[in-house]
Amino acid sequence: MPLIKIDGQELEVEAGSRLLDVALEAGIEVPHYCYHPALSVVGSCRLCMVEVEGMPKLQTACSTPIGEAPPDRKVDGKYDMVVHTDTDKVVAGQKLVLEFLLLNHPLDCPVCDQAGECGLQDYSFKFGNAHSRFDEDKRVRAAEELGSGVAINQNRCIMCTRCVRFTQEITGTNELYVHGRGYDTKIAIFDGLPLDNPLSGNVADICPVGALLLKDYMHTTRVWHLSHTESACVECSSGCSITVDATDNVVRRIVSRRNDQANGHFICDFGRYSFHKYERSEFKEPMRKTPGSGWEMIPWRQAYQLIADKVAAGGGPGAVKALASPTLPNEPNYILGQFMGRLSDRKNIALLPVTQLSDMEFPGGFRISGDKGGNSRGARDVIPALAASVKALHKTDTGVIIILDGDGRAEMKGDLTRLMAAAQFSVVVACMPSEVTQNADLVLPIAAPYAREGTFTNDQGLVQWLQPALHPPDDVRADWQVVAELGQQLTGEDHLYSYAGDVTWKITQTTVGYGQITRFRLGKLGQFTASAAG
Amino acid sequence: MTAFKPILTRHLGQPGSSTIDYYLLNEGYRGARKAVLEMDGAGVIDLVKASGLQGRGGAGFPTGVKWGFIPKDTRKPVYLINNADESEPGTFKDRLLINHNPHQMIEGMIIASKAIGCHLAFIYIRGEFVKETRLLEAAIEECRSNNILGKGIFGSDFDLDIIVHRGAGAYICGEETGLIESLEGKRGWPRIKPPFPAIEGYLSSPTVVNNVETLANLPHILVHGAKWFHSIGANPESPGPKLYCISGRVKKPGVYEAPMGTHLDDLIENYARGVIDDRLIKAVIPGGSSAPLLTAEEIVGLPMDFPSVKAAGSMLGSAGIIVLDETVDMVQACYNLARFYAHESCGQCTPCREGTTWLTKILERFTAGRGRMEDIDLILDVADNIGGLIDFSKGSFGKTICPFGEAVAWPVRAFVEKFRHEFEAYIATEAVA
Repeated sequence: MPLIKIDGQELEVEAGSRLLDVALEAGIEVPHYCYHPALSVVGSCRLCMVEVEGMPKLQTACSTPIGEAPPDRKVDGKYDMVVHTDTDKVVAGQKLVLEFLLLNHPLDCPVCDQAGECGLQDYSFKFGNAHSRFDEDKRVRAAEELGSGVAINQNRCIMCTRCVRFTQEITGTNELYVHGRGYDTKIAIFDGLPLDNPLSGNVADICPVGALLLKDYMHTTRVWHLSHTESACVECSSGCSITVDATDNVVRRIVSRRNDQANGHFICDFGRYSFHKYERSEFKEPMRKTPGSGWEMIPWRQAYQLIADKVAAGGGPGAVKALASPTLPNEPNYILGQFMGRLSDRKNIALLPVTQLSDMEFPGGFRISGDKGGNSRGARDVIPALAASVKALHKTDTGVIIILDGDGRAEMKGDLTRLMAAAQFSVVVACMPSEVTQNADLVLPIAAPYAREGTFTNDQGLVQWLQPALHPPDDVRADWQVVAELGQQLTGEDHLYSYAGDVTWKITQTTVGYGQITRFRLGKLGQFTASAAG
Repeated sequence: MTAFKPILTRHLGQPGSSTIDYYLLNEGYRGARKAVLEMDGAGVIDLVKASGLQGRGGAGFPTGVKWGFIPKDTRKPVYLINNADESEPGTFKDRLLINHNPHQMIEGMIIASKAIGCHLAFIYIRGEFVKETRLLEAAIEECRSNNILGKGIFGSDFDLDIIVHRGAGAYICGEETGLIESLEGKRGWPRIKPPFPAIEGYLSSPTVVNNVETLANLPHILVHGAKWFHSIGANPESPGPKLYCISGRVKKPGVYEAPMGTHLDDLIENYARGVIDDRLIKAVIPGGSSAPLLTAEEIVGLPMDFPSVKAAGSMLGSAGIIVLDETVDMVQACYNLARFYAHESCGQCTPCREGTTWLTKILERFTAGRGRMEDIDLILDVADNIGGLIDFSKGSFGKTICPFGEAVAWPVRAFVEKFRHEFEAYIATEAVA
């Protein structure tokens, strides 16, 4: 393996690695714009210039591969490459590139959404000149819409072409191209072919400046007011890593978070904008349906007691049926499976069906799972005695049915409709109104997705920790807590959980494949179950 | 100079010189026949290396050495591209060669293809050369029906076909990697190197790009030998016949064939018949607009070959000689040049995209009488930041992906450095006015 030295730091690296990757991984800042690890290298911004000993020109680190030098060419007898990233020559090179990039820039940071997380702003602050030597008229161009979700402020664009390469290499949809030549080049779409692919929002994430903008987020907050919560997306079984950005207990935007075990660098637009679905009024307290007059709010204790009474009146514990949720974390599903096992030897628990489409795969390797459950694999993993289908629950009479319909994603049709109709009393655990809650006799409210905590297992077996970005309304409880309290009521046994992590620990003690997983080992990027890793 | 008989242009003006019948009657395709039937690729490469032929497109890189970079054991197809995208201002020699004798160049392509093992070659021709395109297509068709192109040419087991591809009018597509991108149907943006085209060129396969005039020399080297070629011209480091394009303020502008190393003042005085109205020369651009200009003193006795012009601080380039006489306004000329480069900058990398137009805007201000004394140094600094070579303490050269940055920076610097007083005078005049 080649041995190199960057700014005095010795590093042993794989032959063929890119100098820029190596430097960044070693924590050495090399400014760059056009380079993106998921995209091809074009070397066009010219900012990542470094000095390589023995080479007369400054080299762009992004396009410099590291190889083994022949014995007689090694520097100091041992180094295959010696690199400096902070010499006067390098800084002069960076200064001149920044000067060129800022010539026509409008310097409208006060009204720019990117301000605060802008590569141009940061590097200009660090290397740039306080005064412009450009005394000519600036190039001024109108802002344009590129698609339903993305707009471009042409004046801020630095022509790094990350976005163009994204549509060429990652989505393969080729909506974006470089229009015009030289000084007049700009990012454009072809007539009648807007940027509307399912991954389009990523172009704003990867834009290093404030040129590409999400219309959804435009002028919403200043980024320095956002709290960033590292979590996972629960909208499908791909389980992309995300950062949930919120202010005032409201989600403002969701951006991709790199996870090479899951989504790589990107997320889809369904996931990106999904938080809007949960902005609808959440439930505040348990609600029971009353004859004629609609819904009545009741206290939690009363709700649990009501369920216990209905169980007693409706054929006893053996007639209780339950539907676990592929949209809720492993923790409530695990507890549901456990207490259903106490109530009866029968397989009275099945998985709530959710929409199943075919997977959507993109040329760059990104995949949107067709399983809209999100945690289908996890729910199956943590519930040992799961019936094959909802239909299987029809074989015996149904007294009380308990449905975990976390996000209201189940469709009221077929076997589900028949089962609810056959039940004497139906309890639905959900965060928001849905077709299923409308048909319930009692609704138990739980926290909405971005206020949830627990583990999620994607369809590849990667377990990730959901980190709550919001706090739920006062009388709304955590999903695992509601299910645990319900189990306590029906089995008469105290549950022993104080935190979601307590349930997770229990899962790891009892669930095949989860033995090595702990709340803290999951970290930010998650951990594969033993069966997936094997 | 009297002893020299034209080689590349010897058929110029002969009736029917562009047809295959004429060419075959005049010993045409003898060199190609020899290369294909009697020699192997390595033999052709060695012969051309020994001849000392240097690329005539501008860089003057030894042709045989360039061919030698093609990997011997490659399992990919190897491509030859004939760069006929002649677009350097002041250069018009390739067009002449195509017009009057397309078969000479095609024969050169057969020889080069044999050398590198190419079976499909391209002619990337400047889009504006419509007549030349038709002529080439007709010539290629003639070759196909005479077993000079196609399967088993000259009865050998060597196959070769040629495709003519028209460019779309961008100067940058004459840069070899920009050309390759364009040929692949993409935007003509130069590639970062490495990999070099000899390793990964057209469709990621090993590719050689040669200029029209380079290829036109090959038949003669094959027929008359390396030694003969090497003996032509004054400088053994840079031998052969050369086409010089002389334009600007001369009495008889045109393309002149002369031995490599012919003196620049000789070319202007004796070939182009001197300066219009017998005015004095102010400066000469020796090798197309990218070459820094030389003053009247600097051109005296300057041998026009690659090493000599380089030693004089410029480059032979495409041998596009542009003569500026004593009446030329150097500020206007510099502005004109900068405007050309700003218009042709491809826009890919930052210094060139932004810098060329910045330079142009400053120079435009000068011509409008709004120049300032500090702008003169600003011009020099911006030029250096685009493609400066001179001051290593400022970050060295290589600021752009392709040589375009240097192609604009060097001549602009030369204009300002050598005629600074004219720039200053512009400011002074306006101040009085």
